[in-house]
Amino acid sequence: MRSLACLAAGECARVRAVVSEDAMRRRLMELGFVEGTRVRCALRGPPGGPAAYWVRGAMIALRRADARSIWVSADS
Amino acid sequence: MKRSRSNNAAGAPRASVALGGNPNVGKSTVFNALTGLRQHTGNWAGKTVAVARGAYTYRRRRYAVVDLPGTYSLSARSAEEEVARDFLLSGQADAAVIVCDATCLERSLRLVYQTMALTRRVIVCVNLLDEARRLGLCPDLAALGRRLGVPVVGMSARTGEGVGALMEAVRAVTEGEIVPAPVLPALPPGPEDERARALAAAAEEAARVCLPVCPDPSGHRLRRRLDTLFMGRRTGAALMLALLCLVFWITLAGANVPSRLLGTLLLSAQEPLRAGLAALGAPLWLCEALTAGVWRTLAWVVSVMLPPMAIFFPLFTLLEDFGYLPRAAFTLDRHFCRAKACGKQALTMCMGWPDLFGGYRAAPSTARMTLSVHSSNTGSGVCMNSLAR
Repeated sequence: MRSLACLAAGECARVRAVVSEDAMRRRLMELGFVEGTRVRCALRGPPGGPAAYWVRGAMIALRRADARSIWVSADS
Repeated sequence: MKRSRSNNAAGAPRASVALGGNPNVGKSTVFNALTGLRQHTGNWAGKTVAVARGAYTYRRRRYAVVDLPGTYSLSARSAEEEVARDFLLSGQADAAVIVCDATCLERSLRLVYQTMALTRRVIVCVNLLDEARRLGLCPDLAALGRRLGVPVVGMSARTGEGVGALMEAVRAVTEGEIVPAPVLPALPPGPEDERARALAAAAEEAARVCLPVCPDPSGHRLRRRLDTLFMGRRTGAALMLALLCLVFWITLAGANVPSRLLGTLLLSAQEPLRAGLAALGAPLWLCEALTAGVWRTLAWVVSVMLPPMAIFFPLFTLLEDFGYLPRAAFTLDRHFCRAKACGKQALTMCMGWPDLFGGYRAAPSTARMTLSVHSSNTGSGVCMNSLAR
């Protein structure tokens, strides 16, 4: 298991858990980051900046700190 | 249903329709298509959460339309969500139209399910059908309607396709001709995670019923290339600067001539105005105050401010329509993050720039710019979650 922030551009993974504080966790889950969801890193932005992910048919940009709170496993 | 029936019985001419949906699904375009009102609503932080209102007449009945702020959910955690949720719960709406993005149906359907849990009188409006067709998608709206148990109308608000059908659906629902019977997923009473998962699964299934074959939108090659270019590590910032410079250059260069013309025209009216006032027998001090004071200032402000604004805002709208703004926010977020703000606020600042230009030309003032930064809300970590378009 590793965090979503570790994904390289174009890499796929499956969400295992979201571990941020309550409000943010619910927000991320509403955006589609629920357990079992397949995500793909679409783009890595400027260094230190956000990255964009494809999740459930939408492109979502997350800051590094938020992406770090999402645990993913390799997509089999 | 009771409410709208009693409305009819009393002969009340008005029905109230709430318009909801995710941000960036063309909700404002639907609002404008219905009401014919040119009205700009955005969800950039810093804009007051005010609901826009409009009205239209269909078959001799007035419909008041309330444009709720675009939200991803109705859990009342942000001011926008609270406004949308409270309005739906208040029962003021005789029907709630939820605008969905045909190219990103699953996400829209999560909001539809949440809305159906609050009110029964829901109409689903699947917008951006033209764009979906371009991507090779052809959603089965009838199947979606059967699945959700509420009327589903297809639409491309930009071309006006489906506006009549939506009005007819709204009429049928508000008059009680069609009684929506929402089919809600069984949400487990347990922890929030379980419910979120059940909701996501229900939306996923409903989206699959509507679009059995759903090609990955990320596979769109041109779009992927443009995204890499405009949001890339090296190219993003450079392209953004270039674009902004171009917009500003067009604004400044284009505004010079109309500014001068307008100024000459308005100021040339000063003398006739003074003569007219004098002829009416106004005292000298009043003449001077009205012409050299009020009129002259007005002429200056209008001639300096109007042309740049008339050029800048349409250009900005164009960028918005191309979906560039969230991408610019993506590129800028890092810097705004340091100031405990978020990238989206760059756009609020940009919107203040024509005033700044005007300010530079007349009297240096950056009041508006600082104002827009101060009034923006801070803190929310997920800033640019609307890159889908």
